[in-house]
Amino acid sequence: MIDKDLIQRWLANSTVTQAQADTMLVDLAAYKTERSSNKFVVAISTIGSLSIGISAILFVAANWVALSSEMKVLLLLGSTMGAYFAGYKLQYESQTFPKVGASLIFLGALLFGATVFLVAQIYNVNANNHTLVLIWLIGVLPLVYAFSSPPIAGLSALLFYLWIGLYIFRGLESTRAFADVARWPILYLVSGVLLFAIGTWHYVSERLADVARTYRLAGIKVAMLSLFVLTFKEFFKLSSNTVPSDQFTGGLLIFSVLALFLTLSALYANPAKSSTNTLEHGLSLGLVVAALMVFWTKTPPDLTAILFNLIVVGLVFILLYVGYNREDMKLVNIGMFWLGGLVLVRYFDFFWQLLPRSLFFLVGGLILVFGGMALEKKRRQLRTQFSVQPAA
Amino acid sequence: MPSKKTFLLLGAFWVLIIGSFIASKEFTLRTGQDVLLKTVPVDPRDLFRGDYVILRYEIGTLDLGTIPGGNQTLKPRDAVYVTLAVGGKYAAASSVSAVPPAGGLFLKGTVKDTHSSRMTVEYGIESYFVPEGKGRVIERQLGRTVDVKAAVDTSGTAVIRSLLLDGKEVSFSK
Repeated sequence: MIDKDLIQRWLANSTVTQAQADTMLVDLAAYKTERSSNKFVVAISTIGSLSIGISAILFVAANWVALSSEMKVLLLLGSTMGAYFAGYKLQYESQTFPKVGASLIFLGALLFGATVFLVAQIYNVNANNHTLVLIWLIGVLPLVYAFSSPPIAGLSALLFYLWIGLYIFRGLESTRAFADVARWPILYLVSGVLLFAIGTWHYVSERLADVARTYRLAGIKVAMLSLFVLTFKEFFKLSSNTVPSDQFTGGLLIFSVLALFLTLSALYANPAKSSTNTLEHGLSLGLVVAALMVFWTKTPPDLTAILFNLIVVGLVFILLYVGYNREDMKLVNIGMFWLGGLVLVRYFDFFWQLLPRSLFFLVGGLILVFGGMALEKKRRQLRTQFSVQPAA
Repeated sequence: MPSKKTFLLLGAFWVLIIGSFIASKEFTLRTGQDVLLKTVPVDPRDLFRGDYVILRYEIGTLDLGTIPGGNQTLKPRDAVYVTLAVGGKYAAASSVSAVPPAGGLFLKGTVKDTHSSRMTVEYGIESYFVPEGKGRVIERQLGRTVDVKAAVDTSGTAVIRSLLLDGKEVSFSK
């Protein structure tokens, strides 16, 4: 990426003239200012859209009696279409306020969900019905492809995971549901890998590169969270004496087959044209296999937890390595976050019993303070080095 | 840039989804047979979750030892079809089946739990939404009879029409 140091080096090597270097420096400063301004506008617009979306959902929750059901549906559906239309006009037709337009389209996607829940409320559909989230997801997905919108892609990823949870863990009071709930990290690990592979295949279309990255990052985050839970041996003890339901097992198998198929095909085809393709998808395959082994076999809890701790440590360093090489701050942040989290909980695990309490908290506090300072310093150094974030 | 046609098609798609959702529920309400279902008391502390009433029905707990069709192996989350007898004031469960019955009025449900010879079933009508703040009005009526009037269509799907307290329809209009 071009930065001030690179321009100075070109000037010193006579690659560019002084006049050219001055022009490039002015352009670079203008670019950075515009980028900051754009980010600010996007942030404000998104916060505004989210606030309006939240107010719509609260309107639904309040179940306002002043209006008839028909009026409420028309009001919310009208607001949905209004936000959607206004967003399209601003972003694509007049192109006067493209960032605000994008936020309004995102707001439209949120209001669509609120409308679905309003209709459900009017007809007294069970409050935690997974079908409602599925309807919302189906409504939102075409927008991801029509507008190549990362925020809407992020919303669809969130709805996907929410739907999995509501579908698989419905009927929470039944004894079988507990057996399924105890295995949620395995299911979410596999679905994280699946979403990562789905994201990879979106690189087939250059127009969907941002969507691809959003899905891949969402997959990485959920997979890391699931792996983190799997580092606790208590988790394996919790699930060892229970039998999962056929529905959970069937769902896990379907997701695993899809994840394996998409990952294997991405390994061969490399749609992302990534230099670390073999590493990415080799690891993905390994994670699915590890998840299935844990699900099907009765491995000793201590040994399994140690294995997953090693997997998490390995993945953290791979994320940091790939993030550093690609100058991708998001990957670095994810790696650092989970490194910090893992160190913290393992510190608790090992030293809670061994050390006197006062010493435990003193040492722990010092590790947190100085460790946090070191991590933050390193993060800032990397952030100033990176100016363009390439694809994940 | 997405074309105007794409934009309009997507808008129409949303309207179609919402319209279909409403239509499916309206179909049940307009074509379904009305039944009166007796509710059973729930823990008052759990009666309200936010602003909706949790409902439990007499037909939600079935004695597999006595009800016809109770000898079938049904597991939690299996679909189940409960034939209703509507001779008395309340609709009662007359038989249970893992497949839709050939005729008669029946409710489609999901097995929630099986324990000994008892099976708990949910029919998708266990929530009744009330306006914000109005739930306490109903909560103070505990001890009175709470009934639900529901429409049941030919596929066994039910939609709540109204909630009744001591036989009177609960209304929240201002």
